Amino acid sequence: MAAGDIVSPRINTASPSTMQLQPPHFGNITAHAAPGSPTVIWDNVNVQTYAAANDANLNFDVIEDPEDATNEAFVGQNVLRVSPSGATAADPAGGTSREFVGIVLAIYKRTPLGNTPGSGNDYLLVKSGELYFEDQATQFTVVI
Amino acid sequence: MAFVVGNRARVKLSSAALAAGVLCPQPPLLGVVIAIAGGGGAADNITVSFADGREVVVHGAFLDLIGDVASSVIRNGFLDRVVNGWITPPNPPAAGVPYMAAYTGRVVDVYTVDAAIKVLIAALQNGMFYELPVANVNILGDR
Repeated sequence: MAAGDIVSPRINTASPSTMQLQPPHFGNITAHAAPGSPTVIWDNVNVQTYAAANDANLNFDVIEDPEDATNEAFVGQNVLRVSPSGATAADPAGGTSREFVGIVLAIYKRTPLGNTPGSGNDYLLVKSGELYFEDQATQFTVVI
Repeated sequence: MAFVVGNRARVKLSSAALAAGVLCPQPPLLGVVIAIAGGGGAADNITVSFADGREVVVHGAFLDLIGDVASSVIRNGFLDRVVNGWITPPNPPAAGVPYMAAYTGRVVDVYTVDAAIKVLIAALQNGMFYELPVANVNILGDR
């Protein structure tokens, strides 16, 4: 982690996601004087200096560019989250209700802080009506 | 690029590792530079008064400089227009594909981000704010 890195809190501890922030927030590390104590300016202009014992305890993900293939597959698309264990097995979206079709708002990679840069998974941030949801890109299917 | 008092600014949400990705705060939040230290450069403290009333002091490296676009460009091209995005993927020949119709939106604002012209739309479908490079915006003549 270094000044200038873009980060986001890692609220979901399981994958696929089980929790949904409304919406997720992103921030820019403006200072990192000692492990566990960065200062972050968030996208809503809140400025916070943290006081964790070490960087890992912060539970931040570094936000990076997605793989080209992910970007090309999803930019400008409507998507639906895949639920293969749902009630409609023949439907590529499984049990996800069609009312949850959403517009892709952002495509990025989340790499847990401290892991090798670029080693994380690609995520989509989607807005459907007033609802935001974020999950791994592999959990979505494009709806034509 | 140095800031001067009176510049508009916003929190920078790009980095060396996030160059192609676009993160659009909902809603966007702009501010005005009200004081600078030194030359207003990347390592100088910039004091910004944001539209929600908060004042923040941060190095210039963590801000995007938001600039005006020539008024004729805005009025003739985008003001009161409905637009859609236009994809230019990095690997042709798939170039030139329109975004899904759900991205059709009203133009909220036109400005420069570090000198590159951007068009901010609010999607008709759900009000989502989405920023596009001006070269990737298609004005819909029938809307």
